[in-house]
Amino acid sequence: MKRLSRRSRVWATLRLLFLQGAWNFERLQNLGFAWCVEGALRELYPDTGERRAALKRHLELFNTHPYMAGYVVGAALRAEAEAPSALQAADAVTALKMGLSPALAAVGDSFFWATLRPAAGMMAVAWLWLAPHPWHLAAPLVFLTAYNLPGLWLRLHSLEMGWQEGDRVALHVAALRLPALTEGMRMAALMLAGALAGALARVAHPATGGGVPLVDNFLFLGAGLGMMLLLRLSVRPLAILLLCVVITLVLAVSFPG
Amino acid sequence: MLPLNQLLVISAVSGLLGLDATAALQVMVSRPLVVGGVVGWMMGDAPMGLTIGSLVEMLWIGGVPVGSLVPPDGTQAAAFAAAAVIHLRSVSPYPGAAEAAGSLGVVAAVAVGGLGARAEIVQRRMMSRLSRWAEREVDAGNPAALGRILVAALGLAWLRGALVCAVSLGLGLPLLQLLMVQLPPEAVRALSWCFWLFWLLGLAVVADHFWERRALKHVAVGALGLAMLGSTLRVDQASLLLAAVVVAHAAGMWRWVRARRGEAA
Repeated sequence: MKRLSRRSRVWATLRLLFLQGAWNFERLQNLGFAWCVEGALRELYPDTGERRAALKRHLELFNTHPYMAGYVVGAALRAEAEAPSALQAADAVTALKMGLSPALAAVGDSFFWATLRPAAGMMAVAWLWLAPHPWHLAAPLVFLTAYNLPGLWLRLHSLEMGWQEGDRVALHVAALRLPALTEGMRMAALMLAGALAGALARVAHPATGGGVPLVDNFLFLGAGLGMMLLLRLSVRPLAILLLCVVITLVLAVSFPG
Repeated sequence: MLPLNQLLVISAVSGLLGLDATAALQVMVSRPLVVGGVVGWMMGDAPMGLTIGSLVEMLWIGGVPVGSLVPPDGTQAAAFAAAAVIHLRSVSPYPGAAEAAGSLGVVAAVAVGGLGARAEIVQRRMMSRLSRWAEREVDAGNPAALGRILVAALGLAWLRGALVCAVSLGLGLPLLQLLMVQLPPEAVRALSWCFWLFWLLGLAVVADHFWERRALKHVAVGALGLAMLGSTLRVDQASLLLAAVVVAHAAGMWRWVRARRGEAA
């Protein structure tokens, strides 16, 4: 097996932060992937022709979740290192990329985009409304910390794991039990949304200090449940937004003063 | 209208933060919550910017960039909404003008988000040319060009975000100002109520996003418990409610720990 220095792997990890820099409709993340492995390929293939062939292969279509891409890059580099030549690595690397990418994309999309980010956002919104002043202004820091602690940890160590585990890296990802964590975080975020809806009528506006000018907090909460019902019936949020404007205009004109 | 230098600086910063959405880093400084706070701080009212940003954050919480789907541009929407609210809140002499400006800003931000998504689609099509250029460079034995091409792509993405923000602020703000000045007191009052309803809608969007039948009892406990507490606690006791945040997340983590233990057993 060819040797790949730790320095090259660290550089590839840092370049991963720009994986989607040239995202395009034709080949998606191909350019970012190729740039990411370019330095490592220079070390693996001293021969210019071999290096060119390998790099061109990595300019083919590629798409996965950007945070999970490190596993694919690490495993692909290991496959490149294990093959005697760039030509012989072609099938193994392509199969590995094609096999790992969709599965990791599904896990990453579900955990990071659909769960961790909204849950961290919900936590920050709750912080903004409920934390004592002026600490409430730290809401963006709460959001960035809650989101980036697991996110950055995964991004910084995934390439190394991919390099060590090779094509067995999927087992390592499965051992993280992300679907279970996803379920727990969904429940926590739901609980927070419910809690903030319940408290909203009694806490002050974070910027103006004003309170809800509506009749009753249970009535207010009822309006929220009504909106929730409309959303469950697949009514678009924009339609509900405009409905709110129309209803309040009718109420304001009907009950002046 | 905003002073030109302020408009340009906000657009440049917003374009820079927008890079984080897809092109670079993705540490979420492009999220409306952060962008609203930054724009608010630049305009001298960070709390208001943060409040509007967090409202936009909730309304856009389900925008997941899966595959080639381009969700609305929450970064530019939040930048516009925060700037609009801070700029327009004192335009109307009627009570509730700040909240009414918030409602108007958020409604207009929906259009800005859509405009941003359209612009991103155009930009991604242009990126395909960069991909073909990269292939030609690699064929010609010049792999180092990949870095330069990526920098060009990042520049294009920044320009797109900054342009969307500048156009929205340059054209949209004067229009909103005209509208706000003309609004009768009833309309201002109605829009100020809307502001609070939008918050509820945001929470409903979050709940809908995380909807799960099995978790119904968690929502019910959270909402009813806090509604009860909200009726009896004084506002300055609100910090106690932070315990709810901790408890909710501890409950979520506990499920994960249990799942991992189950696997170990």
